[in-house]
Amino acid sequence: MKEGDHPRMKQLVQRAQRGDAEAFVQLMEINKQAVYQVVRGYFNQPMDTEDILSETVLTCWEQLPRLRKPEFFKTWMIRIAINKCNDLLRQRKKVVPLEDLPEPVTTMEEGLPELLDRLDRSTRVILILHYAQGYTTREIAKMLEMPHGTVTSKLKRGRDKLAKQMEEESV
Amino acid sequence: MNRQDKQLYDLFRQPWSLPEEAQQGLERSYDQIRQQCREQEEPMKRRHRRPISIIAIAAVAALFTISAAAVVLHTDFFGSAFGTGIKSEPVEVYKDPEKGSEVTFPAIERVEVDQTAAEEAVGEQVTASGQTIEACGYTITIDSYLVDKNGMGVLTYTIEHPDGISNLVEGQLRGSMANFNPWKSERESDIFEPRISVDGVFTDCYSYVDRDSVTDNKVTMAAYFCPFEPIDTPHELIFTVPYRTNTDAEDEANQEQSETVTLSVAELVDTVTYTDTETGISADVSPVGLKLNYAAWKQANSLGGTKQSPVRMEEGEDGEPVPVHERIEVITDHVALHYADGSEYVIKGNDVLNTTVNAENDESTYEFFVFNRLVTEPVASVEYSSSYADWDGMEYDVCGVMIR
Repeated sequence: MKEGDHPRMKQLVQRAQRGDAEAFVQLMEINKQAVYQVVRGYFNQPMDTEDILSETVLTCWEQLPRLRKPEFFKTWMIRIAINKCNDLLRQRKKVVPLEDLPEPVTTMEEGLPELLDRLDRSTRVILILHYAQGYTTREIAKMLEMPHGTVTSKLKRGRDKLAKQMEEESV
Repeated sequence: MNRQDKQLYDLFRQPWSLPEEAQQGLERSYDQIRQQCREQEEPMKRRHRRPISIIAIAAVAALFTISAAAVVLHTDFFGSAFGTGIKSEPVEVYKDPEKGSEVTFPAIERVEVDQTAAEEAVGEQVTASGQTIEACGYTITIDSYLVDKNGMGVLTYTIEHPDGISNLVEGQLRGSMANFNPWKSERESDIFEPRISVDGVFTDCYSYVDRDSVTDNKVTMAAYFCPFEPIDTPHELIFTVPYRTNTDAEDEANQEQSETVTLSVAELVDTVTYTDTETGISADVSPVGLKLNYAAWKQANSLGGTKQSPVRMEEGEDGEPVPVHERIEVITDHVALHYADGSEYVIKGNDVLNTTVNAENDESTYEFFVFNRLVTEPVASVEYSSSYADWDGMEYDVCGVMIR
């Protein structure tokens, strides 16, 4: 099973699908890093990430009984988070959800998230999905509804840019 | 994996600190869900359930059973597993209300069986049981089962309750997910989806409703199962029904219990093995399912690793062991049976998933597919293609073979 990294994941999903709220909470606690990283890839404002995280949790709970393959839980959950992010972008009159303009950096902290903020949004999300969450370029293309070639080229360019920044910042 | 990639993996895998506000937001969402559960629990326990209408087709099916019984001995079994009450529709998992985009699983459209051909092909291996389990007022009766030499199969069972079974299936019969697993969406149920293990090996198992069989008090289900590990000529199935009797107990162990029956599988459905001599990839085909074995091919191409368990460890510049991932992440793209008459059955493909259940082992060296039909036609070859990433250049290579 590709996604069943956590030995209890499948069991927890099945219990949560039967209405076990505590199993669901455990499931989200195991996976909250993954959702947070993706959402943080979209937005760097704490209020945005907080709202989307909460909405993602509630939607996952509502929709969970309809998830057929428990082993796909993580991908399914991330996909829900991505849709929430796109919703918010649309609300802010951004016509293209994953546009290529970098967001202004609003924090003085210098860590990986802040370095990523210097890249365009779609590249950030692709890098996070690939390096942090381990998805292949093909899987990412599906998740983001992007051509596979676009994902691979953005990944390559983003990787090079990030490595250059890291070198300059000595991260 | 080059140095730059390794550096990025290491960096990205470090935990990102979740802001305190975000964690608090999560906690609030969790509390909201817990509250919802508490509010739903009591009214649902008291709710009087309206029975489902009896489906008239059941009577027609019964007549058909009687008239055909002289020729086909296992009409009920074939009918429930691959019969007329199996129409399904695409299963929507999530739909974005504004964007309209959705994540869906393809339709699991079971293909109706030619019962005479089915009887000829596997009639002798269909084993009748009649064993029952009593739990929470329900009676679960194992009707019949069919298992192949690789431990894949289908088992039919009925579930009945004198006060009605609508709480188990109502949502599924009313909605578009008619053949979707009826057990999992039932939050208030006190009885859960049965599990099947084969010779002690856990299987992936899905139960589907035979819609023609539904009455107020009884429904027939077909459970399709395949193991997570290769099994050779299994001896027994263990059928387990989990249930809970005391939902108020804090101790989880007191909430969930189970009843089991052991079923012997003396008569196994035979398999035919096809092997591609160049790659070593083999396919075991039975009328019930397909087992693919690509262990030798993965080993020969250094495809054995995953990100968590790399192919091998090498000594790095500083003398420390460094994981070598090389090519990983094999993705099966296309699997099809090619029949001797030139037609084909695509089991898995782009937007196609003609299987009732499928699984692979932890090492991703075996993959199992239980068919959504009985394969009674002679098979000439098995088509298999997959792709795998070369992490150094992010390029994909493709393996495509016709296994004969």
